[in-house]
This record gives sequence, structure tokens and C-alpha cells, in this order.
Amino acid sequence: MSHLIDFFSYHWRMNQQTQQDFINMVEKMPPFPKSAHRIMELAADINCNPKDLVQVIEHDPVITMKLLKLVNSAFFSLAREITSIRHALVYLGLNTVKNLALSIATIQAIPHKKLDNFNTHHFLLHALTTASIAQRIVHRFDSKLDPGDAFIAGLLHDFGKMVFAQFSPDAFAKAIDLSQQKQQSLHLSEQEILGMDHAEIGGLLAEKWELPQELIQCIRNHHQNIQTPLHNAIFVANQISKQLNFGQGGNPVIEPLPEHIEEVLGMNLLMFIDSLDGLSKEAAKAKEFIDI
Amino acid sequence: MKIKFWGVRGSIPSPGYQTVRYGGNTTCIEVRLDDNTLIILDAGTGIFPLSQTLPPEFPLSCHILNTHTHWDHIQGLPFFIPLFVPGNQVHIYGADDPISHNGIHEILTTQLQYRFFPIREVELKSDIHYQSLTESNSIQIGDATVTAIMMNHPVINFGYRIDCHGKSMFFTGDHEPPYNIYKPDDEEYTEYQSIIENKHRHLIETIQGVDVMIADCSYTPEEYPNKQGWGHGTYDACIKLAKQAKVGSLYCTHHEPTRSDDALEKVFSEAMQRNPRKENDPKYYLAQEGLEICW
Repeated sequence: MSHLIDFFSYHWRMNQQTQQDFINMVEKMPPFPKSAHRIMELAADINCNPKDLVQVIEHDPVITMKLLKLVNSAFFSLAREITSIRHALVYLGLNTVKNLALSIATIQAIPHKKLDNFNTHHFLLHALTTASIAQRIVHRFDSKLDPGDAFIAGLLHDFGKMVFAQFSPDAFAKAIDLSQQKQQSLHLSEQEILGMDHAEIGGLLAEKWELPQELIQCIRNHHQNIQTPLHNAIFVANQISKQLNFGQGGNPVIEPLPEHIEEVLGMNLLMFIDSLDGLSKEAAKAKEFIDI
Repeated sequence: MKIKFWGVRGSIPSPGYQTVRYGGNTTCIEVRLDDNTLIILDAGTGIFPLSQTLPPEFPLSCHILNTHTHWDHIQGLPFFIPLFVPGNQVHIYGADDPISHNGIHEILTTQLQYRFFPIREVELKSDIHYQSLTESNSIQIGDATVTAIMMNHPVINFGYRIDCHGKSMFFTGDHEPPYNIYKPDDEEYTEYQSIIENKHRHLIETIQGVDVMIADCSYTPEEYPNKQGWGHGTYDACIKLAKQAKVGSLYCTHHEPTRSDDALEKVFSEAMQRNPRKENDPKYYLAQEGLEICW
């Protein structure tokens, strides 16, 4: 079997895409929703004008529909049916609507398209659990970081895989197989077979989307040994999500925590997981959210 | 029904000689049904002195209704003595959080983390029962019916109406009447106004005719413009609501933490001058720590 894999990897190396191919792929990706950008901006502003928030939500029919579906769900069981975003604002208040819209908008930014060789549902679950775990643990690394930034970085860290899955699905499937066979990290298999890994192409996509610099760097370097607090939080959350089998991003390797992270946490990965309560609940919540 | 105020201060405990008459503890209201069933509205720091009166009733069954999970409404909970004593039954009710999807149990789980409190949740000796409430499902506590209504605050906040044997009371929790986000010449203004009015009608229907209404009267009309959106009401808005809902009496609470007793009496007296009481109007009072209402 390993001969077969070697043959494939040789074959694919010969057919590796050029840098230009990758740039073309990134160009073909849908734009980051403007509304998600704007909601992220408004949510970070304590003095956000409610009129602006209503306007940006109302101009995005998908976010509007999802928000109304959520507020009219059994979860809220309101006495009155909420029929519009303005109605939701009067009923639930600005802050609740703002935070609901932020959660919906960031998840909405991930393409939900069904792909043949790639289970997007499992991928989303991995992304979302990494996001919520990163949000929860980020203060271990820097108490001043906004947990919302850690959430978004966690959500988007593997976005590059969606580019491969859409525009080079066969080669990407081979990379996943190669990782399984060799039990090596997916990004190394991608480098062997595709000539670029998902972190790098994810970085290109994040640049095209004009995301904040820190986020671009975090996506691009999430498999590198870089020591920023945000990077550390995403690295640890990513390993926890894999260790607990929350969804599946195609990477079979759970990396041990580097020494500098173990020092900050004062323990190894498994001990750290043990110290966190309610992780399975995070996964259940993520599942619910994907299904809205 | 009997009501006793154990905490009437908003935001943060405010002890000191300037607040000694009205009290510095944050929100906590004891409600006793005619058969002595104990309902506690919010677990601000006032719940600690309340809990010191409870040991003679052990083993005790009590019901804590949480309006919302901001600190000033939960701060006393880890010091609620019945939680630590075997045989007691403590029922805690409140809203789930729509952002994290966490239930009401999260209050104690969060407060009693090893780093923040010396006793962990698993070490509590009483039987604790959590129940998530929603607006459209009233619940029974003993002979009382408790109805929750969504109020307006920067987090989900339930107002609670309690009805028992023909007597009734309502507590707003923290509440700012929703305001129109549009200007009168914006085309959306009228539609938004009608949504506000619908919501207001629903509130009046829910409160209609209660004997006692306890309401968030944090600000004067002069103070309010700088505090718009903070989620708190004014004396004048509460007086208007009390009149519209034809309640028996209004107790103004959630006193501003920086307001001294003298200043509190002054702003209340000015509110009374602006809103002179006519025949059949509700009676108006300032909520005060230790004050009991029995009817």
C-alpha cells in the first residue's frame, strides 16, 4: 500500500499546481460576506448605533431568516411571534440581538456547499468546536485578548481546506488518505501532493477577504511554532477538538503541546482537557447551531 | 402574601453612612405565600442577611427566581447558607442564555469555580434543582402561579408576576422601556413605534391589576439621556406604567449606588411633585432594606 501512496504522491508532485493556480482558486472563492464584516465591526463598538445594526442585518436575508428562526424557536418560547428584526430588537433588546447576529454571521461566512469527497458538516463541527474552545481558553494566554477574536480565528483556521475541497477535490482527498496512511499531519501531506498547505492558502484567502492582519497571520501560521497568545489558544483548541473527536477536519494527528504552552498551562494536553468542564456540551451546542 | 426587601441597591453594593437608611445591599426580595412558602426574587448581596434568618426553618424548601444573571442579582448566591446544609431543597429558576445556550445552572457553576470561590459546586450539601423558564409557560410554586415576561435589558431579563389566592405582585428585574431607535422623520419611525406600543400593551396586560409592583427606577428624567441603552428605567416611566396597569402600589427600587439617602428622598419627592397622585392612582413608595409589606 505504501508503494501505492508513494506512486500517488510522486504522480501528484509532477502535477502540482503552480502558485498562479492557487491564486486563481482563492479568487474563485465567494467573498467574505460584507454583512458579517460589518456586524463584527458593530459588535466591537460599545456605542454602536442600533439603526446601523438593524440595517446591516435586514440587508442580509440569510442572517435575518436565521435570526428570526432562532428567536421563534422553542429555545426562547416567547409569548409573541417575532416577525422582523426591529420586532426582535424591541422584544429582546439591542445587546442580545447584536450577539445573536454576530454568532450567526460568523458561521454564515463559511460556505455550506455539499462536496463529494469532503464532509462539510464534520468540517464545520471541527471549526466551530475549535472556535468555542479557543474563545473559552484564550484568557489563559492573554487576559486582554477579546474572546470574540479567538472565536473567529478558531472558526476560520482551517478555511484553506474548503478551497482545496472545492477546486482540487481529488488531490485533497489523496492528501487526506496519505495522512491516514503515514499518520502524518495533513498540512505535510498537502505540501507533498498539492505543493501548498491549507494554512498557506487559507492565509491567501484571508488576505483577499481583507480580514484583520492578526487573523491572517493566525490562519497562515496555525501549524507553525509561533508564540503569540492568539496562536497558542487556536493551537490548543485545535488539538482538543481533534482529541475529543469533535467533527473531523481530515487531520489524524494530534500534536503534543510545545513546551512553552505546557509551561503557561502548567500541564499537558490530556491533563488540560481533564481540567475543563463541559466540553461535550460545547460540541452539542455547536451541532445545534450548525443545524439552525 | 408578605414581601420583605433585603437588597434595593442597583449595580454594586453601596455600604456606608450615606446609604444606611435605605440600605446598600443589591437586589433581593423575600416573598412569603400565605402558607409560608418561600420565594426569593434575585440573589444579590441582600440574600446573605436573609439567609441568616432561615436556619430555624431547616430542613427548608425554597425557590429562587433569577430575573437575569448580571452580578448584582447573583452576587450573594454563594453565601446563601441553605445551600450548604444537608436536607434543604433549593430550587433555582431563570432564563437560558441564547448566546452560549447555557442553562440557568451556569450561575453557580461559574461562581463556584475553584479560582473564584473556596467551595466547589459538588461540595454543596443541599439538593439543588434548576429549572429553565420561558415566557409562554407559567409555573406553579406551591399555591402560586409564576409568570415570566421578557423585559428590556442588555441580557435576557424576566419580570415575574406571582399570583396566589387572589393576591398578586410583579417585579420588573432590571428594565428600560424600549425606545424608538429612529427619528420622527425617518420612514421606519412609525412602524417601530407600533412594535414598541404592542410590546408595551403586552406588558400592561401581564401586570394588570397587581396589588404590588416593584420596579427598576434607577434614574431621574434629567439623568436618563446620558444612560440611554444601559437597561434601566426612570421614576416617571415606572409611575406611568403603574398607572396604566392599575396596580395597587408601586415600590421604586434599584437605587443608584452613588445616590445618598438624602439625595434619594429628594429625587423621589421631585418625582412625586411631577406626578401628583390622584384618587385611585397607585400609591408610591421607595423600597427600603428591611421594609415589609403584608396584605
